[in-house]
Amino acid sequence: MTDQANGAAVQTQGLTKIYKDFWGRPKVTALQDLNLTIHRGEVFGLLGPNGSGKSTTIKLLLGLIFPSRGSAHVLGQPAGNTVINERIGFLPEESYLYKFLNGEETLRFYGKLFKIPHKELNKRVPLLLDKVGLDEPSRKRKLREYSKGMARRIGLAQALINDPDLILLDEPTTGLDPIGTREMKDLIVSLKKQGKTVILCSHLLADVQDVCDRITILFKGRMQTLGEVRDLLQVKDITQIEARGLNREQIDQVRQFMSRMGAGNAAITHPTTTLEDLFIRIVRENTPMNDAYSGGAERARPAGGFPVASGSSSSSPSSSNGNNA
Amino acid sequence: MSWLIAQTAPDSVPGYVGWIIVALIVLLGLAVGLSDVVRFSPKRIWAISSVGFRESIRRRVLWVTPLAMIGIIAVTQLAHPVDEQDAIRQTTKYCLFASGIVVVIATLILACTSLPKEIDNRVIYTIVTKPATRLEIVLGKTLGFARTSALMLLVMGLFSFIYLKINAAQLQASIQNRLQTMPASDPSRGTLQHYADEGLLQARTYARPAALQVYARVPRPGDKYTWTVGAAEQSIHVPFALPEELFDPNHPEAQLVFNIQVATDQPRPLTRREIENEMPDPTATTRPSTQGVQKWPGKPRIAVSLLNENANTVVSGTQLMDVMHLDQVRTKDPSVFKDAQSVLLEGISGQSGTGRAVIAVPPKWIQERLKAIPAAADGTRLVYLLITPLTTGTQFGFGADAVTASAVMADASGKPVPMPIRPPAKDGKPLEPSFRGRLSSTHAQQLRGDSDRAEAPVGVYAFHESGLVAPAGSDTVPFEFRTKVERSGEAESTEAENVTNVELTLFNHKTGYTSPSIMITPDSDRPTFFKAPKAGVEGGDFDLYVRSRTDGHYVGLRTNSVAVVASTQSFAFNLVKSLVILWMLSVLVVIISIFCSTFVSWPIAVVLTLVILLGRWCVVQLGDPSSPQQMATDFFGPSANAVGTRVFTDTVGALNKVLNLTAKVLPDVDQFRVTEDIERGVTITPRALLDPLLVILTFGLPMLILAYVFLRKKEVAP
Repeated sequence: MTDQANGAAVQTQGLTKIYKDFWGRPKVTALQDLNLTIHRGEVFGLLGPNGSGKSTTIKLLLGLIFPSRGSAHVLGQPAGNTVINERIGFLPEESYLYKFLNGEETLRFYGKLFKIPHKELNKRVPLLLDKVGLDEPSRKRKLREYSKGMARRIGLAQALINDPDLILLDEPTTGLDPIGTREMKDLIVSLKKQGKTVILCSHLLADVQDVCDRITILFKGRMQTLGEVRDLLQVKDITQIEARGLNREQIDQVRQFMSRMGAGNAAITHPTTTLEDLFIRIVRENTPMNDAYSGGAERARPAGGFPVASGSSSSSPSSSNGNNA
Repeated sequence: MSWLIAQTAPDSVPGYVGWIIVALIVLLGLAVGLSDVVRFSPKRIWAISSVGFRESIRRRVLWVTPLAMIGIIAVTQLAHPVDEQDAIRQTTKYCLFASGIVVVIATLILACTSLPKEIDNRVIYTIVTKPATRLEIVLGKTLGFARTSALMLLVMGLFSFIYLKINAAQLQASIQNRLQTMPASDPSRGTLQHYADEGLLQARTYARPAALQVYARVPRPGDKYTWTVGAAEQSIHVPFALPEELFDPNHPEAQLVFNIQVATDQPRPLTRREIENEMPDPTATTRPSTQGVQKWPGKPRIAVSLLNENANTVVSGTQLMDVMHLDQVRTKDPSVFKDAQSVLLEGISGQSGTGRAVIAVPPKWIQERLKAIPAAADGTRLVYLLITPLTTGTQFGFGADAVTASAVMADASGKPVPMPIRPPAKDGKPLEPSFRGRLSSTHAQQLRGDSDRAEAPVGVYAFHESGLVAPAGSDTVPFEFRTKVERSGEAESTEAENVTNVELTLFNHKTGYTSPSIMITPDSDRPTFFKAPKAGVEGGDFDLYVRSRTDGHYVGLRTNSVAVVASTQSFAFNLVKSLVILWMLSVLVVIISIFCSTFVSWPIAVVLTLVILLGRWCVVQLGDPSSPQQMATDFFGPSANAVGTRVFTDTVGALNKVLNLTAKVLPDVDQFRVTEDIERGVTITPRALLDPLLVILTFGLPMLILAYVFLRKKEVAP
């Protein structure tokens, strides 16, 4: 284990997963040479269309599957080590929980797996249920009677039962109403404030853009981009100037001035694109022409049903006043 | 692969190989998951087991128990028991059988489906991403379903107990009614009275005899001879430990010679029945009249053969040489000689005397047959010389040294030198000859019935039960007697003659006390209870003499035909022990099911579990093929193609080896004897509880470790 690995929440080196058929012949390369470091205390977004390798990455980090090549360290320990599971919380894509238990029993069961003392569980379970917004009657109902949103909430509660240092959230807002989505985002932000590391895997790009410090976009098992959200979304070849209190005449004069030299107190920045545009551009750039993601199939739903938004792949200024440079 | 194993595997796999395999599996488990063993947490296992238990309950698995109860009640009502005890026996059997079936099927399905379903619906994601190790998951699931089966058995056990109690109370009332209306002389009164006194729901602990011998008359201390009767009704088995030197390849000429000294007594002329039985004439259409005929028995003859330890013939009478009468066969063929099927005892003149016979085993059979007997650690081979007195109306007496044996080998000069052979020893004591009755078709020793007490052969059961204590406040001790009665064709078929009278007498070796004769009338294959004086059994070292006193009725005796009721136990406790054995069976089912479900889908896991559970039993039922050569002849005829026959015999032989090898590594479910004792009202011994536990330890534990290893190496994300 390297020093770097000690400091990182997650570190992978050449992480590769090749699925094989019955006879051991390679069938699909789900993930190839992933070199990734996720720092402690950051909210990290793992993005990519269906089949891009993000679920495989999560499964590898949790030890649900084993790497074909390379290594993965989580909180300084090899991935899959049950010792580090003490400090990990995981919300799966769907709430894969025992349907015959009720909400409270579910949390108690998972709490016991962490050997949380009975007294502590008595305190923690109601608090968590309050936190995720499950009311008293809901707590006594069997999970099979839960709506999708309620199932997400109890799923989130079980992921937090051990007060984890690292939380992996796979599509956390799926099935939640707008208020629930907002609460989930607030929760992620509050977790970050508590110094927790959050790995977020989501198709709802606006959510990711709102809460993530850094993101990576995976496509066809390879990492396509990695960086801070703000940096990745900047359109570097365009400069944007912002100024307060100018009338139309003055604006004309500024324009004339700007055409000659420059001006004081003027905000000059690059406009940012949306994460959605960035995502689509990366997918297109890496997709062959005859692929469903390309050309005239802009509004088509490619395999896996990932929605492709309309509009140009070029920058789309986010300036609110519409004063494009 | 299995072909290769069959071709290369030895015919007999040593017993310790199984232990080596178990040790290797344990080591494998430790090598793969030592860290998981270190992190082992009973709290987590209990939590996982609780979920499995709760899942079973909420899947309404207990709903099958009322169905089983209705089934038991229905079947009990339709059954036709012979008597009250049989009714209770059958009901007990149905209750335990239904409980077993319900629990085994329920746990089989629950345990086989649990893991594959959790992997399929991905619930396993939220378990393995918690600190629970896969060892804890396997153990937790096993414990969970074991708890489920325990609950089911508790429900079924409570029902069985209450149902049996109600039935027993009704039957007890019926017994009381029968006793009131039954004549005092009724032969079944004793047994009924026993049930009336002791109740029908019992758990008795029996003291069983150490040995059974069958004689012409009861041997007394100081007697010079021990007497048997002729007409091939009885025989004597004399053990010998054949020395290693006898099989020395440098002495192919070695012979084995037996010297037999027998006293004979022919005190009376033959009876009418004996004459009729002695004069079979296959060509006669009618039997000659025996009215007024007085005929004395012929000259005493015996038949001799050699048996192995399991009483199977190794060298038959036709292969043994009657040395004293070799001149009776006039032929130049050296391979033809006077055999030992009917050996005349020489030296007897008159109606009593001592006769002699010399029997030799030709070198050919020493090398071919006797050498094939497995040798003991000291190189000796155990054989029994079987001597069967043949002459009707004659008693044959065997003294202490009636039979001696010697190996005759040539010395350096070529001169034959006899080397005496000693009887083998067991626990420091020489093995004594045993006297046996003729074996019936059910392998019981026959005891001929005779209304004349002096003529009736006697079966002697020797008890050595030092801890035997008679019930407090009672002058009698209860005995159980169970026999198979056979009636000869000559027996009259009147009502009175259909009853078999058996006379029983106790002789106490310590006090010299002889009890008065106790007469009982046993039913065939049914327990008969009688009470004997306490003085006869005090000290525990006593004999029970059994005589059949009805002409033409043969009583079949086994060593376990007689037993003293040493103590009784509560039926409820015995039922609990039966349920514990059933529970251990269900635990084994759970372990095998979980093991199978770690690498195959649940429907295949169900089938595979059944194959593993029943495989050994099936192979035992199939048995060894009589002979591949014989089978080939049966299939293809004697003139079949030689190559085809060879392929067939090799294939059958190899298949047999594979089956036997497979059976050896599969669990022995016969060890889970649930109904055997309790239905007979016998206390279940600690041994009966220990045997299934050993199966779980020696088979279940390695399976559990393998299940863990497989799950540890399994990618649980589909």
